[in-house]
Amino acid sequence: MHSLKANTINEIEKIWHRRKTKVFLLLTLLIPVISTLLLSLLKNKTSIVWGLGGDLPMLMLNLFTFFLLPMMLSVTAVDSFSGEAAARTMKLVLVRPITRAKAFAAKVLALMVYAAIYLAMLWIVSSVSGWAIAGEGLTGGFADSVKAYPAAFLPMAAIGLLSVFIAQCFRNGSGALTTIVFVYAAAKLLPLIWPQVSAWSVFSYSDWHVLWTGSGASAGKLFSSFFFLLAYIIMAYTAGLLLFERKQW
Amino acid sequence: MDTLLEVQDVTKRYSNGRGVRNVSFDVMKGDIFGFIGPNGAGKTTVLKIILGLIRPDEGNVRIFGHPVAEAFEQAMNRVGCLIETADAYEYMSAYDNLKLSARFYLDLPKTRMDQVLEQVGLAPYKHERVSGYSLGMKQRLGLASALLSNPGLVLLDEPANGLDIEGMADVRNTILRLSKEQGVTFLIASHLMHDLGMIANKIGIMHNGNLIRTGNVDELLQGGNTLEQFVLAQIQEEKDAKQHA
Repeated sequence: MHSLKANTINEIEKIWHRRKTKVFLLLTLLIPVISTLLLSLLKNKTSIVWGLGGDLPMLMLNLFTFFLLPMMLSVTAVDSFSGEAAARTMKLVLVRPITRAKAFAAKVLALMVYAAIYLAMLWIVSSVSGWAIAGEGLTGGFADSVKAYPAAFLPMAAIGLLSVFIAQCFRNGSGALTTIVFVYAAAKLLPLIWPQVSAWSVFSYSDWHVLWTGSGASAGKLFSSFFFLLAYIIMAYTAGLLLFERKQW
Repeated sequence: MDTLLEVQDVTKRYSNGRGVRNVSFDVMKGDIFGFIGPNGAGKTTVLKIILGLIRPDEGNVRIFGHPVAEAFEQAMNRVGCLIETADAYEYMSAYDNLKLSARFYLDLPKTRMDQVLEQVGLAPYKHERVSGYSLGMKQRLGLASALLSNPGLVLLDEPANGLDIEGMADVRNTILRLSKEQGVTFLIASHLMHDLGMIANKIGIMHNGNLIRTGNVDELLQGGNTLEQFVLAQIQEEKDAKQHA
């Protein structure tokens, strides 16, 4: 297990060294703060009553899970797989005492760690700025966010793993990223024409966390959605691992 | 004498018809084994198969007695390598690059990274980003990375790539010193026969995907030939034999 731990730390460190990671973390800090300031201003000017302090974490979660977070996870996945293949740095890991299965697991674990960090940071910053800037107490919306943020991790993990699979089908990062953006846009738009598609598309579950808010969905609905997402995660991981194991460097 | 590396009947066919066929050889403890051949002879393919980067269609490789296909981690635990080109994470410093590699080895002292950087002459530039390095500096970093884990077996693919005359001499001296003082075993693939002739005690000659000759340098060069003359004669013999077949 030492090699898995060592390479997971390495992968986390490599992702941290990339400029786009820091830019995204900065966006995660700035967007909730700027949004709070703007919404507070709007409230003062128009007297529209917002439940801002408590609702902001959910508002930000909806915004980030719709586009920003899936994109950032996809970019990270592309950099870690097709990006490293193009830069010919993948073999730096593969000639060390670590099996391919563990090297793959370490890359995926690092991606998941960043998904959790982004979500945790977003929750903390949006909660604090909602409370500190808007000056409102903790409402029911805040309580919802405590359940919704951990729940949002699951669809993000599924989308991240699907990106890992797609990224490995390409030898360069730009081709992989273009395909992922195309797949994501198609998956979001297709249900408008064929509503049935949404039942089978993992991208339609990016707002799964909403089911956990308010009075919530039935236990049966939560249960079936959970296993649907879990099945996607297992399938995407297995397919990604198969590709990774077969690659020749 | 201990056999550190066993390559048995390794075959790999690429879709373009090239590859390597039935390559077999052993590298013993303390050897500096020169793997010689013209460009495209299959040297890098064999090295990549040894390191598990390419899976052979047939054949087996054992390192320190461990089969690479089944016990990769054990096989690679005491192996260092510089393969094809000296690539590194360009957005990180040389020191940070080595730090990543060092994490795989539990018993490595923290001072080891500075030691190898000193050894290859990169110590003054260790905190600079690799993206600003010259080809020769990257090659030195690749060599530092190969030597980092105090390996018992080191595989080097064209280690003189991008190095000036002084750099090439430094690499030769480092190899000879590690071999003599620490008993490190080397397998060095190169087309620079003169360079290899100065340090190798054994050679294997690759041509068109076949290992056409192996043996001790002293025995093979008894006729007074240089290594270059000997290798060229062997390749010509192989070509003639094929024409007559």
